Amino acid sequence: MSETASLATQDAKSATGFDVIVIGAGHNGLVAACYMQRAGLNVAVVEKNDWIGGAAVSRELHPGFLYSNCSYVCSLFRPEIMRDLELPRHGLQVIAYEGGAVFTRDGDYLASYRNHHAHRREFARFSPRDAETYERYSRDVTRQCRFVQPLLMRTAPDPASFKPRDIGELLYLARKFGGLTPSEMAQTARFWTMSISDFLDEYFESDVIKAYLAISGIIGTALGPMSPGTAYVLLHHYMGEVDGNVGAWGYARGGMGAITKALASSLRASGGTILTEAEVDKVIVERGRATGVALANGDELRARTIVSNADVKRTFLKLVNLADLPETFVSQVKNFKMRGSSGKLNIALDSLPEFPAMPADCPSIRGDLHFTDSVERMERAYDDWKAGRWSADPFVDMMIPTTLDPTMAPPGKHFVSCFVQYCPPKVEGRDWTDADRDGFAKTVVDQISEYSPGFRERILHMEVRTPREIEEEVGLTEGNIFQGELTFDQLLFNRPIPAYAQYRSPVPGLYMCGSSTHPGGGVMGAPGRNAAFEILRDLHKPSGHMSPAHEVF
Amino acid sequence: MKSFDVAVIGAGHNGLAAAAMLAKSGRRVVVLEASARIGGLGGAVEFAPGFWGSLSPVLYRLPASVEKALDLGKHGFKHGGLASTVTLGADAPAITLSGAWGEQVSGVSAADAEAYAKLRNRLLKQAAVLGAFDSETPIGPDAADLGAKAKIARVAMGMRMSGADEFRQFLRMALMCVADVADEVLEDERLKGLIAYDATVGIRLGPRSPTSLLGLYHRLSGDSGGRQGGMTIPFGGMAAVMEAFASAARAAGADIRTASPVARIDVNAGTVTGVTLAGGETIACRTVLSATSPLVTFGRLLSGRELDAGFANSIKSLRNKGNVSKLFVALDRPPQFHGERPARHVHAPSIRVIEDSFNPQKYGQMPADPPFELFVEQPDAQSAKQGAAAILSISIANTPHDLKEGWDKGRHALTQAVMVRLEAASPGIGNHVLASALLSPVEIGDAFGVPGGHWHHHELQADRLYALRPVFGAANYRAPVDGLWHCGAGAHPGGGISGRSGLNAAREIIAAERGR
Amino acid sequence: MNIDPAMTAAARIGRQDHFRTPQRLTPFHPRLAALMTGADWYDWAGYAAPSKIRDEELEYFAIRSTAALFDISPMVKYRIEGPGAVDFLNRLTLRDVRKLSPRRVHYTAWCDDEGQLLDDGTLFRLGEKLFRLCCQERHLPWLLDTADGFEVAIVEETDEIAGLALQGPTSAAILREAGFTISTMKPFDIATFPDENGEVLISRTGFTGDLGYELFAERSMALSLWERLWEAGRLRGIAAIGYSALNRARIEAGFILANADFVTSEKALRADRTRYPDEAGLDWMVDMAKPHFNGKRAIAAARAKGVMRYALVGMELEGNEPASMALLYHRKTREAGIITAATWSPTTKRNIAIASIERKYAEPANSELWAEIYALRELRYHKMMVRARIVERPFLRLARRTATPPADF
Repeated sequence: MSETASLATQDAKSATGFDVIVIGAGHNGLVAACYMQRAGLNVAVVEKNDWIGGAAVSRELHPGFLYSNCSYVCSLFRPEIMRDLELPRHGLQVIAYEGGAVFTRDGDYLASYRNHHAHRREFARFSPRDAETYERYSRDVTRQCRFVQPLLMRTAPDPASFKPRDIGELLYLARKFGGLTPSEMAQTARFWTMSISDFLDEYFESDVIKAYLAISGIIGTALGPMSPGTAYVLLHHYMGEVDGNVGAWGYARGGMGAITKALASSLRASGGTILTEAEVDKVIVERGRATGVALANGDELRARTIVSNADVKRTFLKLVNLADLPETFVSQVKNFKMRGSSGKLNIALDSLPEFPAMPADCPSIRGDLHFTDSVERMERAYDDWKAGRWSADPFVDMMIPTTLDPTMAPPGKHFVSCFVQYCPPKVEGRDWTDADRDGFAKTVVDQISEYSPGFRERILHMEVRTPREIEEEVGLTEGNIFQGELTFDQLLFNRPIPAYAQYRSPVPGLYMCGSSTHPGGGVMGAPGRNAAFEILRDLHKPSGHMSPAHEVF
Repeated sequence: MKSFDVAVIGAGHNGLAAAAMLAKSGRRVVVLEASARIGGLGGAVEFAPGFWGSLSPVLYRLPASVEKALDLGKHGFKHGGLASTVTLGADAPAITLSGAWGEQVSGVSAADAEAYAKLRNRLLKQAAVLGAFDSETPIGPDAADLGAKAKIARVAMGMRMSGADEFRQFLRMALMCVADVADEVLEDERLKGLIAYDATVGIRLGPRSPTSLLGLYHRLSGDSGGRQGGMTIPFGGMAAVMEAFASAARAAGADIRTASPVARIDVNAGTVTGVTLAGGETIACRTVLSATSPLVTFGRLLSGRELDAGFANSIKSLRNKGNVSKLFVALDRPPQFHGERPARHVHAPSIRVIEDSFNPQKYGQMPADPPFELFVEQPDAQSAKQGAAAILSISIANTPHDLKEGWDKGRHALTQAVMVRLEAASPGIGNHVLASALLSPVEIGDAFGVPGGHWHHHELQADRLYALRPVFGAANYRAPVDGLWHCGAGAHPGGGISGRSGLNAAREIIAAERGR
Repeated sequence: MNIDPAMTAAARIGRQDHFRTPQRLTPFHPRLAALMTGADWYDWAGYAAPSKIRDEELEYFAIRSTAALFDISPMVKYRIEGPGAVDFLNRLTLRDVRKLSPRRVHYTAWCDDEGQLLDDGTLFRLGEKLFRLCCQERHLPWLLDTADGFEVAIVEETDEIAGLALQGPTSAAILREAGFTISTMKPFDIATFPDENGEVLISRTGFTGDLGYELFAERSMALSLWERLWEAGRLRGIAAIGYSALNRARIEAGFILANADFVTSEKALRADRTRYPDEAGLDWMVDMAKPHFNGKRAIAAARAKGVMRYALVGMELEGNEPASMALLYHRKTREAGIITAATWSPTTKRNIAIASIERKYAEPANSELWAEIYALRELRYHKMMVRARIVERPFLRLARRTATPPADF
């Protein structure tokens, strides 16, 4: 956006002698930069695009319409960070979300309502038993959230280390686990290893209800609902909160770009610098230490601390000379899994779509809408992905943000965000073509049109993002939205790589702060915050301005 | 009438092993077996009139410690040689993993052979760490069991002491999918297929399902013939092994009664009083050890009203649907497969083939090309008399219990799919078939009294291991009824003929009753 | 239970519009709304229920001096029927249902496997094989799980059955006036009476500790039943009341309330907040001699190991400031528990409370307890540390509650 670009240019002119260079102006890079700048360091964020925000961005791709191109909900962004960095003062407003719905093939839908009794009666339409089992289910999931949430804002220990700090963190984990009752421990151990499908089978009988609740188990992952570990993924999506309501989803007014815009404004207000159209070609390593970055335009920027918001593969396989890295580290980075599994359709609509199955006054239209009414359909969609194809009958998480925030489009017009799974990084082993992309988009629009006649005719403009476009545009390797899959081997002290889960790299002075690091993806900001904490610690700078995680009461 | 201290339900390897130990301790023990033969899933099957085969033809988890505890050698047991694993197929040269899980590898590139050796070494070490828990009683419901916690801490420390990198690798790999583990270091698709097959067979996971490496750990944590990862085909078939277990039990003084199905476990005021047989006979005893599936023990033999509803419900939700079928083929001449003997021939040409066959079974559909493993058994006297020169015992993976089209229809297609592969590997083999029969998971369940016909009685997955097996609270072999105990594949440490859970349970019973 | 096969898509679709009325109205709503001077409704299990109709204090005195009419329709009600009903309920609940005669009611409770309370409620034995279970929370999944293997049908009938509590000294007289011959009914008796549109079921039960009855009828009969009582009560001081008045009476009577005086284990987000029956003062219910019931082993083990941590006690406090939710301290220093319900008792003129305290402080030798009360008066807290003595519950024993036949007025 032009405004950002011109501001950036001004920044560049006044820039002198940076202490820290952050590569990439995504939300985590900006969070880290803000915290470091506020600790008295002089920080510059360099961004290859002429806009900032990475995957948390709102852009005008069609006149009068603001698009949240990539990420589309704001449930995970830590409120502690919003407060520390005064983001509300810089324009961020997060509003609560309506429930959503899944449409069924028999002409009905299952909605989720914010009202407790409406929610129960809705589930009871499908199974009276499930409607009440939901109480126990949400109790159990909430218990798991309460257990995990405090871990988000802590640096994971290296379990193989005998350093006091690592042992201290390990003891913290052990104590936390030990504080559970025996049956809670058992339940936690099961929860972390089960598939969401098996987990839901132990509670519910209705296919539609299971399909609806399985959604959060697969969003963003290269796993199907029947893959072990997806119950944890569900947690990853639930452990957010909006104003203390754990598990609530929120929506950033003005689109997801409002978050990064506020972060950028907060950074500048504290004296930080953002340089756009400044693509980093290489991290400069001299005498085994990172000392700066070489830009694609030939410029060099020097600083004693370099922080990469790029994913771990991009950072070490592209931005650093392999010769500067230990061989085993490089092979572990190569083995880091970040297979893209999702695509996106951003659609400008002439008018609000209609869903004949749903009464027009049903509030669920303002929530997220889905069209896969059984776990089997979702799993079959995954089977297609495993075979290297986009799903013939995809899982779509559709959201019409303009029903919550009409300021994003001209009055009466709407912006629709469709998050689609599954969408492979390569099509049957070869690169995506434009024809593939159009075929993928057609599959999705066809599915929506089945439930919303006339949907296609309302389309004013459509932007299709396969992993190819996501990688090209925001640099996420293979288009993986979490900068790395959320499987056990890539979580906590394994994320991204064992022994390097503390935001440091084998190159002194070079740090990681993207979603490839603990606690992972989603627009959470915690990796950026935790990375800043470790860097400030290494530099003996104060971190008193960083709030610890709020207590979970 | 003879009276007993302990009734053991089920004369499978675990029931017999437990009976032997309990009888040795001076208890009067009776083993009650529903079917006419001992052995349970380890027993022999008359798959066609006069033709017999072993449902489980191979030992991979019968360590020397168990042999010694039961003195199996004295009772006629003898390991066969280590069986090698050979890829089945026309495309020579085959890959051969010989020795204990491929101490030597042939048929792959030098680079892969080296990478495999490294991987094997690492996996065996990791599996041994987990295997150390096989002979342990898992933590019970009150988790105040400091001994068990100390054991976990000790093992973790020991693991750490073997080196920081190996320790980190273990923590990274333990819950990975086998496909990623194989893909990280190997090139040869067939070799990866063999590894993935061993990890996933008998478990409802595909090679790309996270945690599927655990299946391989289970396979490799055992040892047989004194070699970790070893696999032996016993002399005289599995029936002979079971006979040795039974003989050990009898020698210790246990009564073994076949054709004596237990109808119910009798309970009064929360305490076991004995069992009642289907024929009406009541056997009074203060201790009952049920060595059958937990679904049978708690769902059928025990009246639901003796159990808390939450517990009963968690037993009901055990995933007990097996997906391995058994095809027996009696041949009038030995088959002409590649490779040395004794051997296991595996059709799992790539991870993709296994995964593609895993997919349809999730939805109750039959895969077109299911992976399978094949053992050539020496025919027993009766089968030999009918002209059999070899019995093929073939386990076919990814064949769903709840087949939507029905097993009447599915049986033929499945048999054909396997026979086509056999024909390609040993041309003309079809002309030498004397008799054959396919047992679906449903039929295996019915024939052996294991609902679901699952190899491990129910899923052996991460959420059902150790203290979570079969369900939390009952993993220490105690049932929530005084005097009632349980063991079997459904309990820790799962299936595979080893007698382990039986021995563990017997040890717990003896320790608990010492306090009386 | 499997999904009702009769639930066709068409039937399901026909019920979509519930979202427009998330809070339902009870069958008596028109009468309550007409009497109400404000709009003081609260949500009771998905229904609009009155906090007060007109004046809390006057409504309280209606309970204790004339007759109070309280709508109990939102109370969760299950119809339990079948040859296996007794055995099923014996597996479910703590008391021995075999000892409950037909046409009798008993107060009972039920626990999960860990022996933690799921709820308490009243069990009506309507016939040899027919029961009604009334409680605070919904429990269908647990009831169905417990019913596995028993020949019994369980249906929630909350919406179908209208309920009224008629409580107070003139309640028996009003019922008689209305044509119900209830004089011989003893406490916890059930009787049924024909009505022009069906049948009215009356039990001598209540939540006030006073003479009182509860009446149940099909939803369609609700308004005519209301008229019948209202007409009969005109000369005997009948008054409709809301929950606030009832709550005062129930505290005086020493009754406890799920998710107020104890947290039900189905709802507890913190696993350590649940209670054994013994920890909620319900140890007398636990019948160890009857056949197995859910939680029996856990309760027996907890008793044997002495791991019960809490006690629920009645308390009398100095002063007259109700101590709702006040912290309790032992010797003013060590935290000892919390007051879960409190009121000034107008009838006994005592400052009473129900409290959940650590078990050791329930011992007489150890029970020097103090309540920390913060009384907010015109933007200022008056902080008080007042002595809280453990006393017997109920705080109020009325001879008329049990007198049979009840006095006529």
